[in-house]
Amino acid sequence: MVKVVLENVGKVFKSSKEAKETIAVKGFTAEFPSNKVVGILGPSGCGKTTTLRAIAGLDPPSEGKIYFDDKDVTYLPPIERDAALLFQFAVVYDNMTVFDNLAFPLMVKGVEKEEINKRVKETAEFLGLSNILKKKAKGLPAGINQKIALGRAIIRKPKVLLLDEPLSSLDPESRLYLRRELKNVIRSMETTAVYVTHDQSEAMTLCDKIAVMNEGKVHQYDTPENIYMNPATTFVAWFIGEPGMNLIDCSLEESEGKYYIKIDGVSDVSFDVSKWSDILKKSEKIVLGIRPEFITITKAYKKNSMKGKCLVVESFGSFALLDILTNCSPNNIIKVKTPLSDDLPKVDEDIYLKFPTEYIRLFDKKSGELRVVMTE
Amino acid sequence: MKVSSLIKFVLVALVTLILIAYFDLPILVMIITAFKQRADIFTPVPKWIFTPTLKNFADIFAGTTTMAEGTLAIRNSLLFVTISTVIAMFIGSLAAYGFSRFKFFGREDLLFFVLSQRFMPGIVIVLPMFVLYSSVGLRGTPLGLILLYINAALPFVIWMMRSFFDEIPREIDEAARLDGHSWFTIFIKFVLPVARNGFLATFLFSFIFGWGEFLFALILTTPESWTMPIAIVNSRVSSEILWGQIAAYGVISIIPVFIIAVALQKYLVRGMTLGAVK
Amino acid sequence: MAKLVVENVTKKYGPALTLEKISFTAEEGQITVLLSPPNGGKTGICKIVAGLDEVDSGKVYLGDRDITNLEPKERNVSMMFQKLALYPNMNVFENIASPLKARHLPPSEVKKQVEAIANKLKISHTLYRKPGTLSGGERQRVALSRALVKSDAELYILDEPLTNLDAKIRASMRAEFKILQKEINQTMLYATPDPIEALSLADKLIVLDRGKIVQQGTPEDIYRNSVNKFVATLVGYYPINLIEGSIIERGKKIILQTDAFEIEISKLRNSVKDYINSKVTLGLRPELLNIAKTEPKTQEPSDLFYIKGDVFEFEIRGSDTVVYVKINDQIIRVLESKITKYDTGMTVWLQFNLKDIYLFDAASEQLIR
Repeated sequence: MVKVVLENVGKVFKSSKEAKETIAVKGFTAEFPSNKVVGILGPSGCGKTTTLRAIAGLDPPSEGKIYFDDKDVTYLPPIERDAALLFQFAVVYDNMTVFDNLAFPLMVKGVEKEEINKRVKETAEFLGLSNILKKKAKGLPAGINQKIALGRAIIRKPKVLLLDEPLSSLDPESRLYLRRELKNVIRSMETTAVYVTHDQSEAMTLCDKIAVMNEGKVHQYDTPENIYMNPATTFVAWFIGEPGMNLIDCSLEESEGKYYIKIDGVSDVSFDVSKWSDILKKSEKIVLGIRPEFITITKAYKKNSMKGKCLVVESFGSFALLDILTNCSPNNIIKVKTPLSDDLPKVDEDIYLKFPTEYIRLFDKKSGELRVVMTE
Repeated sequence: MKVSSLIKFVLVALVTLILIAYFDLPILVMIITAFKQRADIFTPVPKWIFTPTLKNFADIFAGTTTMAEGTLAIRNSLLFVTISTVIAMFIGSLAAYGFSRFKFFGREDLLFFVLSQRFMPGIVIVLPMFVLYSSVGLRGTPLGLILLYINAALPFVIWMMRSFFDEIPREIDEAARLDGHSWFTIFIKFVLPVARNGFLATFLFSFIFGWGEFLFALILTTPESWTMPIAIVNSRVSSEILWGQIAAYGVISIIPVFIIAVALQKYLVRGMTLGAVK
Repeated sequence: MAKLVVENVTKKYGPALTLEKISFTAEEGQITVLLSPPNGGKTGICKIVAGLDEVDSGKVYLGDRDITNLEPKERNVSMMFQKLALYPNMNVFENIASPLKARHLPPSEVKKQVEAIANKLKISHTLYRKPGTLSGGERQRVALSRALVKSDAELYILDEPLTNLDAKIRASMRAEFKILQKEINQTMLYATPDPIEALSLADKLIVLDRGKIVQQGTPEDIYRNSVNKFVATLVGYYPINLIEGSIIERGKKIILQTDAFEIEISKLRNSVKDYINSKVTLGLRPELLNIAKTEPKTQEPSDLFYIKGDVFEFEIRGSDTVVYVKINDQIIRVLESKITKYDTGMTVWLQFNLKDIYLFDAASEQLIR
């Protein structure tokens, strides 16, 4: 197990055709603790695969350094880094048996036959592949293929295990199942794992820490819980959560020595923020964030609640997602997640939304950064 | 780090120069020869410094030293090859589209049959073609040679265009059909433009094949319908072969192909279906 | 808009897939969703309805016309392809304008309509760019615009329109789509492999299994009364728990016996009387289960069951928690719509209602609800 350290890693792609530079990654500085699973999460094109490839040694960075423990591996080829890579589509050699597939990396290294046998049997048992060792790898279901690919990756006991969305091509059942297997395997293996994905529920469940990326930059590197409750930027707030945090424009106002946050376009809702007035004064414009599941809804007006009209009701088994039309900006639709009940609002009905203060987060609009975590 | 990349650069440059020399030296010699006077061509030691002359070119244009009118052969080549290649591209592309998009009984067999036309060495049918053409009265006519060249180019065009069409996702055709366009419109406006690069590359190569065609031109043409290769071969006066003139013909023959290749070069490199389909 | 009627359509695609006797109606102004795992036949049906493929037998009616043998352009339908099929050599404007140009509309009219739909779908800023330069979400909207610009089409077919998008964009486009559909108010045939999309968008839901329709109805109906294991597993927010067991009679009581636990289901006597002493599969939807941390007080008789178990593991996924409860070596998943922390190994009580259970004959059938 090995600590992976990235120092100001950046990657620029030059396109000779258009004389344009694409900055894929910029300023990635983070330490991935050993024996933990670290996730790199972000939308398509955010630079996560590029970063992973740099860590793997497939595509060295344009700037910055990468260390495994204290060793500078920035420009070392993959073989010398002792890192194993697992791809989205399981790489399995069709014409060989499962046994040979697992044995392959060791054979390439020149390990002795007896040792190979031992390790293959161990690994197969570990992954539950013992009963198909003799079978040809062709035609096996995708879930098994990924297990074989995983086996091949871990059999050489690599220092670092790199996974590039390995579960995204599987059906939901296999994905759930394999997710837990993966978690157990990594835990018991004592290796450092870096897991790239755009699926946040995967990242949130598998990873000890997550680096949330967008457009080449890391917005937050923290535990899943912190990322969820205290997102560092408006991007993280919006990206994390299904659906993400509602982000509403508001302004700081003063009245009789006290400071209040007032929501733009809504007259009778305000929150006392005198405690944080110094911080908030520095921002030109403020954004209020609140997650859909924390908003409470009532059919009748309650003090400090906002009026809205129900536009869309999506019901799923035990909860419902509502789109509420309000006078807010920049987006006049507020999403609410509420448990399914007989009392669910109907489309076109008027409804009142209340934001419990302990779940409100205030961001600076210009930089997107989190400024205040409100308490009671 | 910087030193090793410098060494790499020098090595690559060296290898490139050697390759260029290997392939292009003969062409260079030919170009130089075209501008040499007769005496300079036959020196025992090759003469690199000499007084250039345009006499060889002048002779071609005046037509004084060969059996046929000077520029006739050049014009014939341009005419026959261009017309036949264009027609072959048109007919061949349509056929290739059919092979690519429509499933019908015996499709692969028919395709193989078409391609197999090229397997046979031309020399096998030269004599029968001579007889056939003579009896039909096509021998020595432009039409005759053009028809032959079209036929020779078709298998290649169909084969190449079909594989380019295969690379274009069917969904594009389907979307256009749903939009309400006719088959022909779909072919011209939606599919062909996407295969533009393949189309132009195929055109270029077909043109080159036709341009250098010798055997059938030799047998089936008369002096009025000579193409350039034949004019080159006939560049002699009783006892002597006019090397200078041959070289001059060579230089002239490079020009059209060179122009086309340079003009098309950027299309040959860029890709097209980027982003149209997932 | 018109009503689409598909009658007994059959088509063989080779050994892998056959569409067998597909019959359904897509009512006017509604979204009818075809749901199946990949290669279930949804794209096949879409293509047949569009006229891109022929049927081996059966008929397709749109409104009062028999369109079974008509060419696509004669059918007056519009389609959005899963693979988008944008014309790479044309810019966005020309892509969207294509159906209008095919009808030889005057350029001024074409411009007006294209700009209107681009505005509605928020892609006006891309009109003069080529598809290759756009992001995934933008391309999706272009393909959708092209399908919707034909405003007088009688039917709109959408083949997996959101499948290739990032999970995040997919969720937001889903809600947008729902609003859009209300505005447009047209008949739509929508194919998707994603049950969440289906549950959210469908007015009518049709579930396909390898070329056959297994169930059709409203999403709520199919969710609550899944006709077999396949449907129950597919149509749900989270994969359903399936436990093997059998029904036995013990004295006057009817008991459902599984490897994990036993519950009395005497109230269901009428529904299960033919299955006494047979093997069945019990289905429990994770989202309908609850967890109680303390032993609940029950009053008999009750429709609520409490089963004791240990917390094996739990995962916090955003605002939900998935708890894996171990009961006698069986692991049952529970989805809680809130964040709760548990200690691994702590004792909890699984809580569910009799009316929420599914019982399937071991040979794949549903028994009661």
